[in-house]
Amino acid sequence: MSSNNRKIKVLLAKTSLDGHNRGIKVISKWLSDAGMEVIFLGQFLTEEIVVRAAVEEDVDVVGLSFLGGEHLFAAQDMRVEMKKQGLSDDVIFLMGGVIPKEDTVKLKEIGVDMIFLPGTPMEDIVGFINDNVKLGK
Amino acid sequence: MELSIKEKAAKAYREKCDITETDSGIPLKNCYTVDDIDPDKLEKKCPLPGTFPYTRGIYENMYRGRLWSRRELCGYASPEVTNERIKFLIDSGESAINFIVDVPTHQGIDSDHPRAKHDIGRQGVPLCTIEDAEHIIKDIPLDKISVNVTTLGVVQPAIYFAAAKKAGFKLESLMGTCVNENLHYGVCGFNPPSFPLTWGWRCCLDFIEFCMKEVPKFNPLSIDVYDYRENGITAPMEVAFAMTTAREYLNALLQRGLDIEKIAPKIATITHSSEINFFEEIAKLRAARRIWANMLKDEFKATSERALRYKFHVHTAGNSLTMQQPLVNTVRIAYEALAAVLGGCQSLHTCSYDEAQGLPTEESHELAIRTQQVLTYETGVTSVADPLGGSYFVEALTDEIESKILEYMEKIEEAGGMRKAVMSGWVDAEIGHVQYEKQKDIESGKKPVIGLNKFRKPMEEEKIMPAHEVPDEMIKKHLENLKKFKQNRNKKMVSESLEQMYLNAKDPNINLGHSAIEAAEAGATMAEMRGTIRLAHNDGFDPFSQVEPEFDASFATE
Repeated sequence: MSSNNRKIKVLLAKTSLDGHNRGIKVISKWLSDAGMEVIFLGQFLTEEIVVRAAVEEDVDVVGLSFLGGEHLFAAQDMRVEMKKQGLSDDVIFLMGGVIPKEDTVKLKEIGVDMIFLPGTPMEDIVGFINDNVKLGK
Repeated sequence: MELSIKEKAAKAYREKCDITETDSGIPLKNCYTVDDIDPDKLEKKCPLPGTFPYTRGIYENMYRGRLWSRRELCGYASPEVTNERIKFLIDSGESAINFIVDVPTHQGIDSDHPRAKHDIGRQGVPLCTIEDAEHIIKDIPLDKISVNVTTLGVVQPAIYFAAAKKAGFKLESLMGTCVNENLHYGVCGFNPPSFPLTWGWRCCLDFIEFCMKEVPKFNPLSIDVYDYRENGITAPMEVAFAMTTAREYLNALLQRGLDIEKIAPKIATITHSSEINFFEEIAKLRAARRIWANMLKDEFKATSERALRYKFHVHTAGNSLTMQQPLVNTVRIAYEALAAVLGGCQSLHTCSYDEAQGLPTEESHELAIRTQQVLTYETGVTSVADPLGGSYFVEALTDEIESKILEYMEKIEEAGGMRKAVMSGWVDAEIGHVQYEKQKDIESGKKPVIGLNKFRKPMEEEKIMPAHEVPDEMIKKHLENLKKFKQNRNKKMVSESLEQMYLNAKDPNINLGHSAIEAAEAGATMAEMRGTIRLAHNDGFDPFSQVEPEFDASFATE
């Protein structure tokens, strides 16, 4: 939780066409419980829509969840949209889900700040967000 | 806090079992005795296998009569690659085929749709044209081996039928199953506008009726409660969803004037899950058979054995698998498969140990079949029908779980029945609540998961093998094939066949089965056929409102 009494604002979504949403639904609830303001935008969304929402809502964190192997394409398309729409570099870009461990390096190269693989304890995710959101922006 | 080896030794030595309830919360006694079952009632509820209400199995001699189908789900990259994997699986000893379409196909769009680009061939095989289906089934004797087509609606299986016909098979000779279930579509992670409960429901019913008349050896519906279960619900909820979904289909088909004795055997081919809570899963499957038989007899007045017998395919639980210490998953899969067999399944898919990383490799897929083969040929569990029948504990648990299922079925009926409960969001809310609670139990360690919240290793010590890669060049080739196919087809024939389909779709009394096969034969693509049905029901051509028909669709502008 930020020190200036502002709640950390998190946008969660699923892009591409995969609909496995159990993980992101649970995480939405969890981050809310941890005191964050969570917007779950939904699924089957384009990167353009997700980034537009992130800009309009002025969020601190954008998190996407994957299961179907679309993560590398989606990360690239997200970066393109972020640049195009001028999303602040301060916004933390997270990914999670069924993602091969060896792909996490590639995802970081593309510009994903952190990738949470299956079985990551919730306190790790909450801790990472709390530690990395730039306060008082 | 990390314990020392000395402390670990002392703690492990004195450890005792602290599990006192099943995963769904049924309290467990230390020991069960004759007092936990009523011997007189037991005789009536659990007579010999093959006898009503089939608690002990649907056949008198069970696996001595016929083994369950060993059927591994498969499908990725392109139709050609999927065909190779199917042949590999048959060569490895699977006894039935189970292919799944990819996510864009599930959503009713072809691979060349702009929204398909990330998902082509990633969680299944693209099925856009008759040519795709021809590649998938190449060299497979479709009249000798059962083929499960994991898709839904009348269009996609019709493409498969059209390809089978072209390969020289008569429709009446085709064996297999199609999931073809509309109610779970939106709840279990698909895009509802892609296959809504309006015309989508009609397509599913049309396909069932079409198969009953034209493809008699094919099971045109397999209610997929595995997908619900994967979302974190309990075993009793899983069965209750299956029964109340079946009830919707039975009633809808009765309204079409069909005979319950003929409908019921076509509906009673359910896809269940098998999770890790061993006895609860076995009891669940035994109770499901009994509930079905009683429901069909009392509520639907069915009398024939074929109508009262509840057959099911079991899919071991993907969600029970961990990315951490992946080889441990082979143990989970084996126990889950054993529960399915002791529960009397007719068909079984065993997961692969690398599923929390991605799709199975050839090696892990083979091991999944080997798991079933050890069960089949080495363990001896196949020799005796319902080997757990009469166990004080298993019978008592079967009774308890049965009452929990019946109780939850009533709750669903109070919410308006399964169809209404899905449409109102009631089912979604129920799932959301339970899945959250389950995750909390995993996080807190109340539900132990080895390698995850118990005996976890630091990530750097984890030996995780590289995930299976989907070959991008094969997806590119598939896209080129699709382009060529569209260029080479007779556009006039395509448009004419779709016009016929449109006219048929406008009339709710005409079954869309024939026109879907004919349109596939004429070269229409899956999305074009789906789009035509959409237009006829005053829905937009494209579920994502991004593409227009490439064929002459002037027939739809009245």
